[in-house]
Amino acid sequence: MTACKVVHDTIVIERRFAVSPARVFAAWSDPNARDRWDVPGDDWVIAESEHDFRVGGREYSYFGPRGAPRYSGDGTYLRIIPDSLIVMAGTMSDETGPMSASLSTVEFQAGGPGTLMRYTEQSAFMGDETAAMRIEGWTEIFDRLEVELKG
Amino acid sequence: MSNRSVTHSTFVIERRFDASPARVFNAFADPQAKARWFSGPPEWGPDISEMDFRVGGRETNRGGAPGGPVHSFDATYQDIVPNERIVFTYDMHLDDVRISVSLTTIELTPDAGGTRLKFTEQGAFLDAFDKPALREEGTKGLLDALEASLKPDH
Repeated sequence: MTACKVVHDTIVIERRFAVSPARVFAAWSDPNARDRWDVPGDDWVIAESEHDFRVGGREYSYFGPRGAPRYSGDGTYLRIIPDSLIVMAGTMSDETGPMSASLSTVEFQAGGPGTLMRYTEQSAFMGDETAAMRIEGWTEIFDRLEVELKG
Repeated sequence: MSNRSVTHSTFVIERRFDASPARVFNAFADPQAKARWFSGPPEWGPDISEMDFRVGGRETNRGGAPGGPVHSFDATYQDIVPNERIVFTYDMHLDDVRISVSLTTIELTPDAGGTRLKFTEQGAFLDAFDKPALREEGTKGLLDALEASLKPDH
């Protein structure tokens, strides 16, 4: 078995939402809300998920293109401060094995009339995926979060 | 609750050891071999540790100076390729305060009868209880101890 080279990268994405930190935080902590927005692309679906939102709890989803989901994200919540901070760590895999391991930090700050959300993901990529692809995925996901928060 | 902060930092340490990748890997995978180098300073006395070296398995290690705060290391193994790669996430507590969460990747490459080790740590340091530079120093000290544990007479 030959391991591919591991590529380490860090991405930071900031978004401003016109609602309170409590509302943005709730979109992450409420499992039903989370299943509505936390998948990239309108033609992708979450086939299975588990959002056990507490320190030590599991964050899992099996997702992908409608009819053929093939990705699984499996992680653990490591730190939660209501309305302020979420830290989680885990892996993303496809049917061939792990593609990446990541440490993700989500910070929520009250700013102006709304909230500044800063998402930082520190990753070890073990397959073909790159940080640029990961940014593209999160950009689509956060577009959906924005729609969720307007509802 | 006003002093909340997160500092993200990545450091990389590269070392070469006069031991095969299999021996270096074993120093991470075998609880007894790991205990020879992965511990606090001698004045801390013995650590309390447990490890379950498989993907999804956990490792804990607790220790500290007498009368001082307990340092707790709690890790979960995320990926293991024998003799080549270990990826784990871990958090550090001082008593009940979580001071950091990190993603660590260890890569081993054969190098002319020895092994090159690349240690990459991507950390989130919480509320300024610890600094990336101190963690890097501490990690270098641990890798020095690892090197000593790999010497033939050890």
